[in-house]
Amino acid sequence: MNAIETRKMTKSYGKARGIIDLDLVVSQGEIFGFIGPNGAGKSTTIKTLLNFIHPTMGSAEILGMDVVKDTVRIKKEIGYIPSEVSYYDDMTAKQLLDYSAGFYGKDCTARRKQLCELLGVEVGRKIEDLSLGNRKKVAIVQALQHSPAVIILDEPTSGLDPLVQARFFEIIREENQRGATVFFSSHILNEVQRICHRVGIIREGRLVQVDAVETLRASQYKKVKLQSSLPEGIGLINLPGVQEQANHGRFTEFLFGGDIKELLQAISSMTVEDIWIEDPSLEEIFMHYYERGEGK
Amino acid sequence: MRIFSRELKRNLKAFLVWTISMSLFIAMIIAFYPSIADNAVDYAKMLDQLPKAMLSAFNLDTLSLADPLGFYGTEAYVLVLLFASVYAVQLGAGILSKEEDERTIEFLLSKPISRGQIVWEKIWSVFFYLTLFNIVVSGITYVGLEIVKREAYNVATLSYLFLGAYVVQLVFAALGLLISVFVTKAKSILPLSIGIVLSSYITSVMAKMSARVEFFKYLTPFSYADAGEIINTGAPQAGYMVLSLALILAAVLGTFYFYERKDITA
Repeated sequence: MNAIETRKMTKSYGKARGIIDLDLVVSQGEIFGFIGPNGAGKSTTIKTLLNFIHPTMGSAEILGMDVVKDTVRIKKEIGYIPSEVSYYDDMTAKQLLDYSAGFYGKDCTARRKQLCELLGVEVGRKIEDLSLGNRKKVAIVQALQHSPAVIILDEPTSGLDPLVQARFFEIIREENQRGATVFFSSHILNEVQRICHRVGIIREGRLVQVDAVETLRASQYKKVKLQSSLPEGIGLINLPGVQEQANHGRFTEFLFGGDIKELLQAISSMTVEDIWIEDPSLEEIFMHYYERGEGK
Repeated sequence: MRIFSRELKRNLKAFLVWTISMSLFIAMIIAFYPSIADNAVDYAKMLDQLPKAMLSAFNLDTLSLADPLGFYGTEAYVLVLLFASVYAVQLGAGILSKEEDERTIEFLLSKPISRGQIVWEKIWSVFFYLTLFNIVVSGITYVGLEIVKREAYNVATLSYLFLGAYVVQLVFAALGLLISVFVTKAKSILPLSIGIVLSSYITSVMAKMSARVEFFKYLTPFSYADAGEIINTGAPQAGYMVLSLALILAAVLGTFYFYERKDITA
């Protein structure tokens, strides 16, 4: 039995793109990254899995249960963190957590206390007085306090400062070690690479590629930009892995897919004044996969 | 029960505001009764000057201002029913749509509870508050009339007036509920609520003023509880009551049906 399995799952909204023939398998116990640009269909997929919306065609199962017919049973096993947190303004964080816990019919107090301490949630405060980041923390506690078997995250880190983000990833790893399956949707490649075992890439409503995260990393390019101390620039770099080099005066830009050590050695002997090494944007990586997909 | 009690808490303030202001309003109108009853003959003369159709629209052709029931039926009942209907339609229309308007529905739907159960508990909270509202408002009216009455009146008939008003409010609440499955923006709900109640009222007045459009009376819940008819016949018409119950049932079942199948993308 898989944690999540979709079969030709399709959701169309009139003419607007939703998701098309999505075949996705997430095994139990893995952290699965679901990545794509905004509007690619990530949220649509999650909303269909949670039965907020109904699939137009195809079907999906969570823990072997049908997402439409068995949605109530499924939700007993799920923790969901939405991308935008909206809670009842008149409640305090504690009241919301109590309200949430009440639906599961189990005692969540011990785990809640742990989570609140780890994240620094002030439970006594009214939700409407909380900042975006603090609301998100409440959402995390709300989703995890009942120790769900499947955790569904939709852009969970937006609004969290880096320190809390790190702590959040720590918590997710622990949940995973406890046995929870994690479905992690994001448009930030970096954070998906940080904790996921496998990654599925969605683009324009279709699943383009599913890879182990190492594969993605190995095939990943860096964007390098150099500034020369000489007005005539650096000139052509002759190193395996350098692609699409472009020179503009002092500046040289290229994509690098080779061994980073070799690159650093090569750069150290150049007339370099300044250097930028960045991950390419997600869209650039998608183009890469997209072209590869077309070429097959 | 969790959502039911949550809704009771959430709608308490509106309930108190509506109940208290309606009670004060009714008490104020009833306080005018003694002076109007004392000058009933003069008022009757004055009313005779008005066009027949207008008198019939406000039941002043068949009811007497001197009689406690006639006074209540003509001076208070329609206004109370108008306001109470706005409360009812708003309460019904807000109970589901509020979750979508405030985007809290994603939270609720991610919990192990079915949509049917959500609708069910929310409907009960509407029913609870509307019933309590009617008990309090009717109680105040009864006590007020007992204090100021100059002559005896039929209490059974008065309770039929109360019953008629209650049923009309239930119809409006059920309609509000059904509409709110499709219209979820809070800023559209209030004008829509008032629009529905006012147009229903105007339709009922037209039905009474002109024989040609008399059939309009079946289209508007206001005709189902007409003070003139209830006071003159001593009871609400069974046909209207059956029609009301059928409307309520249809709207509630429709709400369950469409809410279950709806895509919720808040």
